[in-house]
Parts: sequence; structure tokens; C-alpha cells
Amino acid sequence: MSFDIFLRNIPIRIKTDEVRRYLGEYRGITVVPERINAIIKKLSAISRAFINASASSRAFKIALWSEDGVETEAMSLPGRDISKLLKEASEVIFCATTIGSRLEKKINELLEEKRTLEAMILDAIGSTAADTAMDYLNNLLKAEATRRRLTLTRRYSPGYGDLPLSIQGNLLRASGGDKLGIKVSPSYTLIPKKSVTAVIGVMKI
Amino acid sequence: MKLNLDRIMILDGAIGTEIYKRGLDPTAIPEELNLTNPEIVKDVHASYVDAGADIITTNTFGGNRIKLQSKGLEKKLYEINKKGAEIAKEASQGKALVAGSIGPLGRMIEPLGELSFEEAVEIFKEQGRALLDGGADLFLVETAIDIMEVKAAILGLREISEKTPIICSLTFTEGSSTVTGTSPSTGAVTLNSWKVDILGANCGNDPFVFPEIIGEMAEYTETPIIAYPNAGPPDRWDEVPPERFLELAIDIYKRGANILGGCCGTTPLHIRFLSRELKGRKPAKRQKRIGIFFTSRSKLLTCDGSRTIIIGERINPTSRKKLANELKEGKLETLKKDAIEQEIAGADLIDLNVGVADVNRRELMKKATIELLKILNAPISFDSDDPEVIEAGLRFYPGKALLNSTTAKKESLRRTLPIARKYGASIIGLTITEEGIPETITERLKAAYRIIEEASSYGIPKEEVIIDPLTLPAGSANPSITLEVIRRLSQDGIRTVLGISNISHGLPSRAIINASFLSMAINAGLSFAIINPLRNELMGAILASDFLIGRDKRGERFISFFSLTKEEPKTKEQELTLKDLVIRGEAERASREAERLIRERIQPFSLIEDHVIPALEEVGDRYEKKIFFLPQLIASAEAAQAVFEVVRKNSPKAEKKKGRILMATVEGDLHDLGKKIVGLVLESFGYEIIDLGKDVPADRVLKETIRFKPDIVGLSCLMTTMLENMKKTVRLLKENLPEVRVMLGGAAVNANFARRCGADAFSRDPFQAVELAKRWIDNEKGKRIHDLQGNAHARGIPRRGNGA
Repeated sequence: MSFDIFLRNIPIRIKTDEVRRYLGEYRGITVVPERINAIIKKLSAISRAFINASASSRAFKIALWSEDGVETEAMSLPGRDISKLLKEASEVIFCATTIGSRLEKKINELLEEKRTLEAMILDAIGSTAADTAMDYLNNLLKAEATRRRLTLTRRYSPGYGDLPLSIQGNLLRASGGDKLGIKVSPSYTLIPKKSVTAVIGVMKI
Repeated sequence: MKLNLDRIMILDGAIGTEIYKRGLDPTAIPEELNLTNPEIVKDVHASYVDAGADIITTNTFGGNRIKLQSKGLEKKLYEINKKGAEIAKEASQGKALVAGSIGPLGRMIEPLGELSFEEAVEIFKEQGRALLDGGADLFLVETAIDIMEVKAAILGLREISEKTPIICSLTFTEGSSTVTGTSPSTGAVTLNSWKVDILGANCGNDPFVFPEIIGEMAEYTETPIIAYPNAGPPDRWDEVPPERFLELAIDIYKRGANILGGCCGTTPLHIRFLSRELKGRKPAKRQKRIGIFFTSRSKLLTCDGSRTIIIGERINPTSRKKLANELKEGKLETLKKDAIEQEIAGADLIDLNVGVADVNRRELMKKATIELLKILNAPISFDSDDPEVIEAGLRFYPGKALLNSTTAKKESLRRTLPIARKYGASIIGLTITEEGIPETITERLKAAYRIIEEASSYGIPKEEVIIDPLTLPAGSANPSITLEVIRRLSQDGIRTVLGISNISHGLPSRAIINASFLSMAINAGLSFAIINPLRNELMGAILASDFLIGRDKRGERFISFFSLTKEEPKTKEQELTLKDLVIRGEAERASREAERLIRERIQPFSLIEDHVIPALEEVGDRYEKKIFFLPQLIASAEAAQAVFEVVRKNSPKAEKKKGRILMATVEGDLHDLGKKIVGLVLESFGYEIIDLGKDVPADRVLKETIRFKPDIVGLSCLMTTMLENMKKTVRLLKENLPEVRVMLGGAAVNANFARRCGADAFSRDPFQAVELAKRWIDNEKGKRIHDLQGNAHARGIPRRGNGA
């Protein structure tokens, strides 16, 4: 495995406690009725038919570091926060994951049928799945780093701190996310919606 | 030197880190040193032999075509690997065995990645051949993160050498599973079924979880186990000194390991400590769990007699026209839907039969298998009368599957059993002989034992053979023969399986007969049932029978299954008030209760005033206190709307709404689920909602506001980048219609922003929106705030009729 990864059909396992957290459950306070829990479980299972998770990542060397931003071989990363994160890094991995657009279509269908409860739960399942796909990719990268006696920074996405959303297009191209079918709207929303991009720094131990 | 696992053997430690210590440039390729500086590599090996290692690993971890290609070294693949084995062999001086190290390929196999399974098999063969030519005594497939890659390696390596022992070692990055989701127990069962000679774990995040990992593996296999952890977590590889590493190794030894060594960060000194203390010891006693096991990539199914195992029968085109037609066209929608539904309904294994005429069934089986692997957790039972079709599925299966079915016919056994052995599948054997289905109990038992004996001659133990004594229609055959065969086989410790539905063929009330026969078969000892798990009466028969004959000891499974699906008892339903039902979010029951109350001449409006509104208030209160979360809020709102519907139907006056709220997600923003939820809750409080949707330009919001004359305009925005559009929309509204109330919501918005851009208020959640609506609409009842159309006209905006 290298840091350049292209994966389709990632086997996503939906953690229902994570879905409940997305839906606003406060552990130990919220009393989740079994009926709702059963719907969450059922939809989590059914959602597998609508989720097609894929991931892509590519690594590039850092060409220039300054306090206001980082230049890599592939693109610029403006902002002081990202500079701080990548201060010790020698390489940057650009990552993108998506679960495809079928789940989104199903949510819209449910909304049109006024089945808001199911739509909302499915939406939370979609968010959980998108995170899980990114965790999956992150774990692969971590395993590779381990083998190469390297370590990774935490992952950072456009919109965090002062890293602008306007880099989404470049980030998709650099990560290979465009090959996964992810696009960016003029307002920098990722399409399909349940997609995630991220930046991870690679450091020597 | 021979592989003798009656005593503990010691593996070497890290190769890479030792090479670096000898001055290797960190950017260089360690495998290339086999050619450019073999002395360094030899020195590392020799240091481990000197430390007492019984097995040393070659410096070929990344010596596969894909990895070497990325370094421009693919043309030297053969030399690098062959030389790697030769160096180790030389360094061993006959005192240690040489294990040819084979690491991950660096690309994922389909369906996870794009590398084809067969290509992976070829790549492993290529590396394996070179290692053998260099003199490797065994293969070490190590640091594996994907069980499917291991399968490709095993198949490839077995094809080049039947006899060379294969060790497979998985890496559990997160402690509890490999990166692709295989747990230690699942991995142990799977690798065991694929007949590797030694299985185990290496590398990973935390060395101190190894005793647990090895303990878990040891419970599920009798195959010897290897364990070689790091000398610390990935970022602190030098953390565990030899003394502490020995303590860890002793702990692992006690949990059942047969070979111990070290991975990243371990040194010859670490190995010397292990060798002095553990080498030659008798392995610790292990106790394998009793039962037959099946696995998928991420699920382990244990069949230990504590319950009847359910095989979902739905994916079978026989008498299912729609499925058959789809399969003929190569479509898999119904197949996938059926698979998921059965798993949800409680199927433990999913039977996969693609037996339609005039198609390439092998291709279809492969395609269906790959599709199911994407969506299923449950293991698969491959079902076909053509062994080649079964093989087409089994080859791509990342676990231990069931092969359904073979018969007692010689030809059938001859063709099927080698496939079952090669891929490590358990088999279902039908008691059909060359003469057909035997009529007597004795003859059917004879057929069963013929299958068991023949399987045994192929190395498939009787525990892995499940006999199907066949169900014949009760109208034409005596079912007691089948039941007696089950009883006798069970008494002999042989597992049995039955497809049920044939029993009632041609008879009325089939469901009753099927369920009764199933219960009788379970009482006779049936271990597996092939049924449609969506049929409640069959699931009920299984769960109740298991409970009654003491398989489900305290009835826990029975109770948990039915407490989830059963309706509340009737008496309880009557005890719940309409308010309770709205709070609980039970729309259908609330609707029925509202109908009932109206029939009892309760005024329709009072249902809203006395039940729905107080219920929603309470829901709001509980939501505020976080006792309720969002789904409960929505469920209650839906229940309230169901009551509104009943009221509307029964009282024309109820058509009148409390007030009108126009809602829109601002231009550029495509997220509007949150806004829809707010709309639903407002609607459930009796307000009329006009939802313009998402990505709505400011001028359209203005135009529609003029057209619909709402009491409030609600704008939402999730994206920070679209806040400017929200400002613009508010400004346009306020410039043209200063009296209109504007409330803002959404993740990107807060009260300060709302104030700054001239809106009237910010609403954090649906209940704040309700509070605002109450304040602005209910409290100002009777007093129309403004004439929007008039105001707009005064500002030169064209007047539009209602139909515009």
C-alpha cells in the first residue's frame, strides 16, 4: 500500500449508536424508545443497498512552508491553521471519500412522500457512512505510515479554521476525488452531498 | 532444521529497522539491498540466528510486482526475491528455517479496489516462485490487512507448491479488526478453512492487545498460531525494552501461540530474551470452541447447537418469475433487495441460487457474489447443481461459506468435494443416490453416510457435512421417514438441514403444515432450516420450538424477537390517551384514537386544543431537556398531523389555519432537510407552510412573499459561504416589505448574524420557531400586520394575482 489509494465498494458498517448521536442523542439523558431504535436499525441495514462508498488519496511533497500557508507540488493550502498543522510535515495526503448519490435520491423520495422521520434518519445514516468511509481511508493510511516508520497528523477539512472552502475544486483534483464522481457546486458544496475531503500531513517519527 | 510445532519456535525480529541501523538511507528501497549490498542483509539475518531464532524472514516484504513497479524495479523482481531467500539461507547455516516474506500488494482487490482477484493470484505466484527458487522453506504472508488478499496469496502459492507450508499473519490495526473489518475470531475461522499451516497476527497499533487477539484466535482454531508484535506503538517503536517484551511474549504464549517473534522495533536482543525463556517449551493447552463456523469478511456465525440456524431461501429463481427474468437480463436489483430483507428478518446465512436457463451461470454467480459482498454481513450458502457455478462464487468469497448442494451420487461427490476442500467450504449433502430418493429410513441413512465417508476421504470432517434428508410432499410420501432420519443422524452427532415448503405441496393451509412440520423436525434434532425468514409463522415455529426444547434456554431469543415486532396488547392501547400517542409519535394509533373520540361526539377542535397542542408542548419541553432527540420530535409532529387530518375530515372549519409561513433555503445552498423538519413541526402546530425549497434566489423569495402574503418568512442556510445570499434576501425583503417578519435558521446562522443583517429573529431549533410563530401570529390574532400586496405595489413591484 502506498499513500496513493483508490478504493471502490468500501464495506461500510453503520454503527447505530453513531447514527443516534448524529440525530441528537445525549448519552445517559435521551431516552430512545425501542420503536425509534428499531427504525434506525432497519434503515441502517436497508441503507447498504443505497451506499456505494469509495475513497481516493494521493500524497504530494511540501514545496514551501510559511506561517500563512503551505505550497505542495499539487496545490496551495492557504491559512495559518493549516500551516500550524503541517509545520513538521514533509508530505501532504489529499483525501476524498463519497458514498454516492443513491442514498440522497432515496431521502428526496421519502421527503416527497412526506416520510420525514425516515428521511431524517436515513440522512443521519448517510452522514455516518461518509465519516466511516473517511475513517476507513484514514486507517489504511495510518497502517501504511506505520509500516514506513512515519506518522500522520490529524485530518483537516476545508471549512475548519481558516482553511477556505474555495480550495474544494483543487483538493478534489489533487486527491483524485473527481475520479470518484465528486463535484463542487458554485457555493463549494460537494456533490454528492455525503462526500468528504480532507488533508493529512505526513511526518517522520 | 524442520518445522516442529510440538514445541515453541522462535521467529526473528524486525528486519527493516535493523537494516536502517546499519546505515541504510531512509529513502532507499530495503529489498534492493539484496542485490546492491547483500552483506548488510546477511548480517541482520545472522544476528537473529545468533540470538536463537528458529525461523528467519527474507528481506522481501515489498518484493511484489506492484510495489517494485512503483520504484522502477519490476524487472529485477525475480532476482530480488530469489537472492533474498539465498542470503537468508546462507545466513541460517542450517540452524534456522527461511520464511519467504510476502507483504501486502499495495492495491486493494475488487470489489474494494480495482485490482482483479486473478491478477493478484498471479502476482503472488510470481513472488512465491522466486522465493522458492532461492531456497525458502516456507511462505510468510504477513501484515495482511485484507482477508481477500490473503486468499489470493494462498491460492497462488498453493498452485506453485502444494507442500511448502504457508503462514498467514493478519494485522489488527484497530485492535479489534483488520482495516477491512475482519476480527481475530473471524480471521482464524477463515484462515483455518483455507488450510493455512500456521495463522496469527503481527504488527498493529498496540503490542499489548496481542494476548487478547491470540486468545480469541485460539478459541476458534486448532491450527498452530504465530504472534510477533511491535516493540511499541507506531510512533514509539523503541518503547518496549527486551525485558518487558518478554513479559508480553509469555502472556501471548499462555494464550496459545506456537511461534513467537518480533515485528517493527524489535532487535536481536529482544529475540535472545524470547529464545532463552520460551524456545522449546511445550505449547500452552488450547480449548477450541465446539461448533461449525461460517464467516463473511466481517461476520462470524457460530453454529453450536444452541439454536436452529436459519438459511434464507429467497434468492432462488425457481417459481419466482420476477427474479428469474431479472437474472436472465443480468439485473440484480431484486436479488439484492431479497438478500438484505432476509438478513434483517433474521437469516443467518443467505442461500444464493442463480439457476436460470440460457445464461452463463458462472459469470452470473460471480457477479451476484461480488454484489452481495458489498451489501451483506451474513455469510453465503452457494447453491447450484453445477459445481463449476458454485466454484465461480466460492473463489471470490472472502470467508468460510456453505456449499449447497451435493448428493450421494458418485459423480456429484467426485465433482463437488474437491471444490469444497479447495475453498474450505462446509457442504450440504442431499440423500439422493443414482436410483433416486431412497424410500426407506435405512436407505436414506446409507446415502447420508456415503456422503460423510466420501467427504472424509477428501479431508472434509463429518462436522463440516450437513445432511439434507429431503422433504417430500406430505400428500404423496410419509414425512415421518424424513423426521426419523433427522433423529438418527442427530443422535450420531451429524448436523441436518431441511427445506420446508415442499411438505405442503398441493395441500390447503400450507402455512400451518409448514410451521407444524418445521417444529416437528426441530424436535427431532434439525440443526439448519432453509426457509423464507420473512414468513412470521416459520420464524415463530423456529423460535418457539428452540425455546420449548431447551435450545433457547431462558427463551431470551424468543422474547427479544417478539417483543420487537409484536403489537402492544389491546388493553394497553385503550389506556393511552390521544395526548400520550402524540407524545409517543405513534401516528396510526393516534389517528385511530382521534376517529374513535370523534365517534364519541368529542368536538374535533378539542382534540387539537386538549390533546395535540399539550402533547407537542410536552415534546418540546422534553426536547429542550434532551430527554427526547430529533426523531421523537418528528414522530410526534407526524402523529399530530395524522390527528389534524382526522379533524379536517370531520370539521370543515378546521381547514382554517392559524397563520401562514413561507420558507426557503437561500440561493446557493442545497441543504434543506433541517428546514423541512422545522416546517413539519410548525405545521403540526397548525400553521400553513409554503416551502419554496432550496437554492432560492432572493428576488423569487420576494415575489412569492408578495404572492402568498405570509405572516412570517423563514430563511435557512447551512453553508457559511452562502451567508451573503441570506443577507441579500433579508435586505430585499425588508426594503420592499418592511413589515414582514423574517426569521432565520440553519447551522451557519446565529442570533448576532440575524440582528446584523436586519432579520427579526433567529431560531435555534423547531420549537423556537414555534415560539416565534406564536408570538407573532397567535398573539396578534385578528390584527392583520400588513397588506403585503398593497405595500409592494406602492414600491413599484408589479401586482400579481394568486394564480401567477
